[in-house]
Amino acid sequence: MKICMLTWEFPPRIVGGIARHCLGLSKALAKKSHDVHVVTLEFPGAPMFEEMEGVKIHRVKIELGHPDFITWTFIFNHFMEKLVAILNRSVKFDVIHIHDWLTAPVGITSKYYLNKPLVSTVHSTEVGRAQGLHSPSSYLIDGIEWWMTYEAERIISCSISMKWELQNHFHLPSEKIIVIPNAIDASKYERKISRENVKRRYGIEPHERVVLFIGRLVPQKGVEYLIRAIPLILQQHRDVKFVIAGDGWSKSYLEDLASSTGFINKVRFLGFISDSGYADWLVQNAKRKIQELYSWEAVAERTIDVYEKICNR
Amino acid sequence: MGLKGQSVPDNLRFLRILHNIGATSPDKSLTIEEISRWILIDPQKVRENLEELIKNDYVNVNRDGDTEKFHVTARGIVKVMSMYS
Repeated sequence: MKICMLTWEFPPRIVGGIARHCLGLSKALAKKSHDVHVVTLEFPGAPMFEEMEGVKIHRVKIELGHPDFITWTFIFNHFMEKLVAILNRSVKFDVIHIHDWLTAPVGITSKYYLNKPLVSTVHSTEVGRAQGLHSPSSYLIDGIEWWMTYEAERIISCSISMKWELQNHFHLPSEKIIVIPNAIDASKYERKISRENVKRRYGIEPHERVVLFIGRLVPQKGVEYLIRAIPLILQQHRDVKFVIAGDGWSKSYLEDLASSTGFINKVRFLGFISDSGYADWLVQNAKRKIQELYSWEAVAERTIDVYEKICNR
Repeated sequence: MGLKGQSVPDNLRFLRILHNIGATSPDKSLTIEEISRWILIDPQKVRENLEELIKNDYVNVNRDGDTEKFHVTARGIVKVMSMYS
């Protein structure tokens, strides 16, 4: 099958889980002898075309700009459309696969001029990310998301709870949505990690237990609930350090918030990390109930208990 | 306990605009005057924002004689994208 995958993030352009999801999926499809073409955006240092384990990656140069994000999104979709049309001269695609609303315009247009089915993976929704619709841009994004689900032949959701959210919010028939959970390559985690070395690296005493948060430091990830809970947790567990891995625009706010608890010495902000680690507890935001990739990685490490609701107290 | 009080800091809003107008590589870098015209902010304010962003490695400056041109770095692009996804 000849697959045209459209995504705004693909390594090395990594923001959240979509880049890693698309990388893993495209490589797995190529391994099964599918002809996978990923069309994505340019990134400093990345070639405009490369082949990686059988996956053909085409990067689009964004030739125009505009201060407004939505306008900018439609501009890069235009340049993606142009590239898909050029590719179509030599590759007769069987299916178009988009990831989230950001590539919905190019996906829907391609569906019509290639006359091929559109598959859409919905990783998250605007109403979930923004915890409601509070601005004209949010209403527009929500509308594009509905349009994307309407135009798609099939919708892929990475969790049952996301399927429910899609069914309820967009009034979609259940049979249109397929749940395919995120996956990881478990063989990468069959290795020994020295807990002592990890703790030493981050200034944690050997006897202290580690509460870990991994994710972008933005409001929708809910890390502020964990930080606000630190004094309560420490009342019951004195020997705990809180490790917050990730970066994002609310980092300064969260650092100030951690200071305001009076326990900043118990918190480590690591920024973006790509290396291995370990924790006693992994904290996830239960408000969104999305099966994040890192929770599978945590399970694969076999060293972590996953607690979902601690930050909802 | 909600999300009130959290909003994108001014310098990151500025970074976002610099990214969206396309100053994302050395060949697409812009002068302070060009940025000022694009986003209707006083050149002095543009310079203050840029200086802060350079400190954090979100923006690079290229010097060609007396001309300074600025563009968003790879780290800055990821920072901007984190505000959207």
